[in-house]
Amino acid sequence: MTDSQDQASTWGWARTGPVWGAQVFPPRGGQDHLGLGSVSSDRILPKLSPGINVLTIHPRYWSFYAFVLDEFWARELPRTKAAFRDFYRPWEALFAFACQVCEAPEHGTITGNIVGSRRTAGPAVADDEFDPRFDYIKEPLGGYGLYYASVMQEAGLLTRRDPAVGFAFDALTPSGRGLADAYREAVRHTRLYADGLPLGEAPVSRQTLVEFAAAGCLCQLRAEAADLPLLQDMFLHAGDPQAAAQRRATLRFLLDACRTAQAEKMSGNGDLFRQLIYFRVVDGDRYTPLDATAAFARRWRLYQAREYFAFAFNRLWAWLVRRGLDVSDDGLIAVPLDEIWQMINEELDGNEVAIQLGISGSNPNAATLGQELGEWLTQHVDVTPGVDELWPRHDQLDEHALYSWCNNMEDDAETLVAMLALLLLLYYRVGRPGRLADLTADRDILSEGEGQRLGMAGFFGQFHRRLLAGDTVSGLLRWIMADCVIEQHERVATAKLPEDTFRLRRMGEAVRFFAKDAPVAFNDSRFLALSTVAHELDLVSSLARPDRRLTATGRAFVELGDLPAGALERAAAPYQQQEEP
Amino acid sequence: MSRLSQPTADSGQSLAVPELIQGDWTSLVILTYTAQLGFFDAHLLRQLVDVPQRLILADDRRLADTFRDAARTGQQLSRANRTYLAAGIRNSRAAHGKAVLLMTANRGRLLVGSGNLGHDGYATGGELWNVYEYSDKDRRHVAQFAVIRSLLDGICELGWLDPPVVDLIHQAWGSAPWLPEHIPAQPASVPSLHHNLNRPLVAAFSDAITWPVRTLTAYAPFFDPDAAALAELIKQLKPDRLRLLLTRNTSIDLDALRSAVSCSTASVSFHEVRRADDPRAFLHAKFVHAAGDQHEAALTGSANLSRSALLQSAAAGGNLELGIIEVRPREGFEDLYAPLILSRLDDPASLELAYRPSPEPPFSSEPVLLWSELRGQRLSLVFDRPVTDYELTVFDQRGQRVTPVEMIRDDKAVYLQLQPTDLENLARGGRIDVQLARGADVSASQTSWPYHTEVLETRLDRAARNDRLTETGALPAGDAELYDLLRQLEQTLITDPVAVWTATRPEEPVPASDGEGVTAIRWEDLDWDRLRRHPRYAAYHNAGRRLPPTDVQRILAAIAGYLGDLGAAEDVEALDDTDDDLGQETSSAETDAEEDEDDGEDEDSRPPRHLSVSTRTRMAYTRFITRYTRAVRDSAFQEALGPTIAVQNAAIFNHLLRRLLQRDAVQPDRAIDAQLAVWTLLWGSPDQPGLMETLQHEERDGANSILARARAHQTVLGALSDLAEYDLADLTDAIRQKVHHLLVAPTFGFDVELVRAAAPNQIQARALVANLRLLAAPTSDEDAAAAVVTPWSLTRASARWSRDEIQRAGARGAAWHKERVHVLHMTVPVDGLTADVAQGALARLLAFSDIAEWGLDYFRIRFATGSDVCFWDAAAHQGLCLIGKKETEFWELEPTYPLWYQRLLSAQDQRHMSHESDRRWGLTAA
Repeated sequence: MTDSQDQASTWGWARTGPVWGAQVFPPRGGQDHLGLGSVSSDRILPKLSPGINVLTIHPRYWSFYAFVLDEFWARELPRTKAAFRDFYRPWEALFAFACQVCEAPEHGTITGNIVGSRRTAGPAVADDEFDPRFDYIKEPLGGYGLYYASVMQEAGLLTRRDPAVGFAFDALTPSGRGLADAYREAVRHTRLYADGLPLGEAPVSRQTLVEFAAAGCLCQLRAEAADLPLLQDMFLHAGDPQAAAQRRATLRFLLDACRTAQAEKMSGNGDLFRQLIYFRVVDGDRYTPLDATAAFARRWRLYQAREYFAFAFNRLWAWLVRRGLDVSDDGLIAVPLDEIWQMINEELDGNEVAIQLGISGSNPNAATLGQELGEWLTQHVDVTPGVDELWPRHDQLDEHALYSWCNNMEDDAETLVAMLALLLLLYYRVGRPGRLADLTADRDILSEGEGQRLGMAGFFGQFHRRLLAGDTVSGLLRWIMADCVIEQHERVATAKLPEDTFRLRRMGEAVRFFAKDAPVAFNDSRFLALSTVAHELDLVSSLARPDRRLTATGRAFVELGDLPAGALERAAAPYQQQEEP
Repeated sequence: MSRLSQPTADSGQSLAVPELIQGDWTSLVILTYTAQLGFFDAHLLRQLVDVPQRLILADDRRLADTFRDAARTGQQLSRANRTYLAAGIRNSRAAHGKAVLLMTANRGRLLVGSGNLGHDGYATGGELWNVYEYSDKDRRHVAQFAVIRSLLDGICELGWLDPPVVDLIHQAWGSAPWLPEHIPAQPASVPSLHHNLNRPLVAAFSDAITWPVRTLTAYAPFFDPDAAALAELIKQLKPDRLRLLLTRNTSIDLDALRSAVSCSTASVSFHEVRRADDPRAFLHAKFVHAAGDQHEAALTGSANLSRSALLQSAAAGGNLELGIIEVRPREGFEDLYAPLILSRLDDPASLELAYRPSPEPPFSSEPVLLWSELRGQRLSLVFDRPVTDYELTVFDQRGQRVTPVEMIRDDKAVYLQLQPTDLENLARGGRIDVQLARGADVSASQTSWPYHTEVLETRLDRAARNDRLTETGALPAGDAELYDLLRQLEQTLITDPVAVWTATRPEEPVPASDGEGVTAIRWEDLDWDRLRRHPRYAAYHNAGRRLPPTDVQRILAAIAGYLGDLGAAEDVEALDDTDDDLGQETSSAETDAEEDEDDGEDEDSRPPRHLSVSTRTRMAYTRFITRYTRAVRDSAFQEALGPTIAVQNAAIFNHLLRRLLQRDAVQPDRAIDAQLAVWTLLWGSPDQPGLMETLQHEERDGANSILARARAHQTVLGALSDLAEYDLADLTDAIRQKVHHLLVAPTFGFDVELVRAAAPNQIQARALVANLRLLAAPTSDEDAAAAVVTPWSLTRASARWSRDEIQRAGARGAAWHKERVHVLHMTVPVDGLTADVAQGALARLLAFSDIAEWGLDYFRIRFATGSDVCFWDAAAHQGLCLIGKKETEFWELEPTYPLWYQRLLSAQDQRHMSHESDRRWGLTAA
């Protein structure tokens, strides 16, 4: 009997109430509370780097998984998930160990995680024998199931299980089989493969894995492996032609851009990358895109603009949630909206932005016109260069400086002003009518999120009208808080029901606050994935180190915009005929 | 402060309101003050898909606020006033009553309480509700329903609803003929529910109290500024003691409160109240509780402690309110306090209370657009004053200007005759923006969501239609639509006794069923003669298509069409542009990798969000197919149905079951059991012939034709391959037997061509055969024994396995050695046992070991007679039969595969076995 049947049978006949209502939805943490993160991650980044996402960073996994799937099909086994799991997991467990005991010199520049390393890292250091049945990851199909199968399908290497159309199990296409062959060629003479050790019960020695890694490790792709040209071909040409062109353009832009700021390594959280693609100047080093990469450089710049844009709203949301909890006695009382507006005004009137940043001029307050704040800002930050030009830095007031200043949990008056200033700077750079006209070709990025998730073009259109109408700092913040923070959060949280992720909710003319965390961060820019792919495809030395150098192949690619195609097709040729229906 | 009461251990039950607002209802009417349409749209609507008429009546000013906010922040609400109604009640003050009314032709459910439509009102612990049920068999609460109807009829008569809304209200009454127009006059039916359309609630409450009030307890989150309502209550009820419950959120002027209670001789105490289990819950409930020596009365519902709520009737300018007034014996309202903690306050000022006035609507000097309507090609706009002097411009949802063919002005109304393109845009739903201009003065645009009156009116009619049947092939993508399809299938097909009952006795309710869907319908209750005259029956018998395609033929055509076009775009209905996908968080592909690795679910177990199937739909389909399964196994029922219906049903269910399993829209064990039943019905079992064997001549041709068009054989193979993914121990044997049978049944016709036809390419054909082999392969010791003894007409119990030590020759001429091996011991004699017979048994055992992948290289059978024994040593290529003390040696033994396995081998496509690794590992096609 369902709950509702139970209720219906309990209530309404002999017992009619009055009865108290129940809290129906369980509170949950959730993420992306304004729904803005997915605009960058799910809509903009897939246009810029389709097929390379933050979880598919090592090209050789494409080869390895193709190889394992091919070996599976080579055996008379049921074509079920269970059968594949039993076949696959020992292979990937040993592969995870092998990639961590690898002694090849190329391994020094491997960055990013090896699938299963969380559980295998310890034994990889300590043990001399490795159990093929080691429970290296929770997910039944490991990195293949979690991350790579879908992108391999996009690349045309396999067709995934889809019983609705008669696909009983994942199967390689001719291209996938060609790639599997190439990897098999690389590891053919290793003991691990030749003796079929992953399929046995016995532990595998460290020496055996070291030998395998010398041929099959992720790092060995660059060592003139047989699968290298196939993977280069795949990344540059496979899948949807438009997506391939976008991937090429991004890789070319990355290789072009990474020659800037050579004294610093581009690693960690991609902070340097963000500043480089947005301002095109880092520590005095300037990046001038090639003519051929200018268009994509601009699109990446707009991507980062969107990240600053989303950060401003998310930071204001977190400010309101935490301050709201303070004034509501941790959510015990509802706070009238008027009190919230008054609190914001008082904060604005008491802020010390200029003083704290050591900026000359009078401090903006609640009554300061939005345009005046803009003028004050632009006295210090040069926003006149066009959308394809270098944007000069300002140590205290440019977008990244404001972001860095407020990327914490200090919910003070200055944060309000700084986030409004951040939006104003973005408005001047990309949101003014003139700038929007300059960005017609990139309107898709500027408009992403319209309707549901705050598109930049739509927001700055309203922002522009409010500035012209003489909105004050107070008025602008009130509008942003009401429409872009409170209302937007309510929409997103309502859409997430039955999971209750509300941090605040209006109740008539008051707001209730709910005691849960309010984290704010940039979304992953895919820098690590892109730079790792570029390096492991032997296009460039490690971006995680200073003094980056393009390889000969990389130089040719940047110069010509492409590399010769056809390697994958040639490898697939022996299997093409067999694929005929 | 001192604590007065502690929550009891059993703090009373609570009511999950959203769970009551679902089900198979015809009409829904929601009365509310504020309306969170986002909540309704995103959450409630998905569980109201099978309720054709959904009407929300809210306070007009609050609803206008909601629409204004939606317009300003870009919310589409494209279903508002198109698939559900959201209309304002235009009384002079607040329309503050809160109720949910659900109706069918013979049932009703009514919730009345304090909660407004929204998350806080329906899904938190701060509201109080009363619930009433009605059925034709139990009319005890009919008066409560009549009160609601009288309120709505009164509102209609007073002109507080827009004319299109009045029509829809009347249509709703038409769907519930049991709902009386007037409140029954019998004393036994006096309702506890009251509205204040013509009489203030305080008067009704006073009338109910005919005894001295000892203690008056009152709680409401909102008071009027001068606490007049409380003063009047004290004046009328004259309590000895007044308990006033407050929270830190109570809107009250403390000075006014003190003044109001100072006139009374009652002892007054103030208490802070909160829920024990959730101190932060906002208590939006309202109640007045008057306790006497023997009796108690309570007023709950929508009314706050304000003049306009309690002291005035709506017709006289007060709010519109609903109240439940009940009188019970002493302590009859204990449950009311059970979840609460009351803490006495020495001074209510410690709560820092203040009166918070509601914002007054701004006065507009310009005409205000009250409502709009899209009917036919005409868009009507109705204002609160004449607009003849104004220029008027209309924009659609996307901001595009509407350019009417003609614009007619009539005092306060403007009628726009639309062009086809504008009509098409507006018909998608969503808002319009209307701008008025007089000379150079252009007013701010006003927003309206037009009533799509015809669409709303015809939803009741459409509910009876079968427009989802054509989606039986791919199955609809959305849960709501999938549920809709089930309802239409149930209305179309004759699958089981329930279907026969509903077709032949529509006026009578179906006898109750148990939780498994088994009803108490007796065979003699089924009117087969009437069934044969019913259109449902005729829908199966349109052979030669003398008539237009019937619904059954449309279903079969949809299946044939889908299977004939696999891989093409599925027939997925475009989803409305709603906030639904706002709930999707950043894709998993962009979340932290480390976190995902260990915390992620099996990705294949996570259906895409938009394809998720609710528990309700899953349970409904499970019940449907369970009923069908029982009927399929009921040979008398099938005989009465006749082969034409049986085969068409089987073709439909054969496909439907596979697709439902793929969608995880049905309980797997039930669905697989149903598949086995369908396949047995059509192709029989080793013990009984199937329909396809017993039918003759034209009937058989017709059945073959139906199955061929529905690609039933291919579907069976695909479905079997799918079953390899399931681990259903209880069904394993049945599935294995079924596979064995289908592989050899002449009427099924398993061969390589069928395999090719069932798979999209040759690689997947290999997969299909591999999975059939997995399902068919026996693996247990008992299975092995059975393989040996069955040809001797013995049961598997006539043999047992043991592990014995024997002398065994070494491979390649090496020395003999002792070894423990598995030996099959016969426990009964084998008739006519000879060396050939024994060798045949070894050949079967060898084949079994091969099929089951036992990897044995030594086989030994010890017979029950004397010292008879035989063995085959595959490693030494040496065998021996010692039967009747006569030794027969042999050096070759070919496995004797069962017929089903031979069929499977013959279906293997050889062309793809030349895999590089196949060669390296020495694997070849079996």
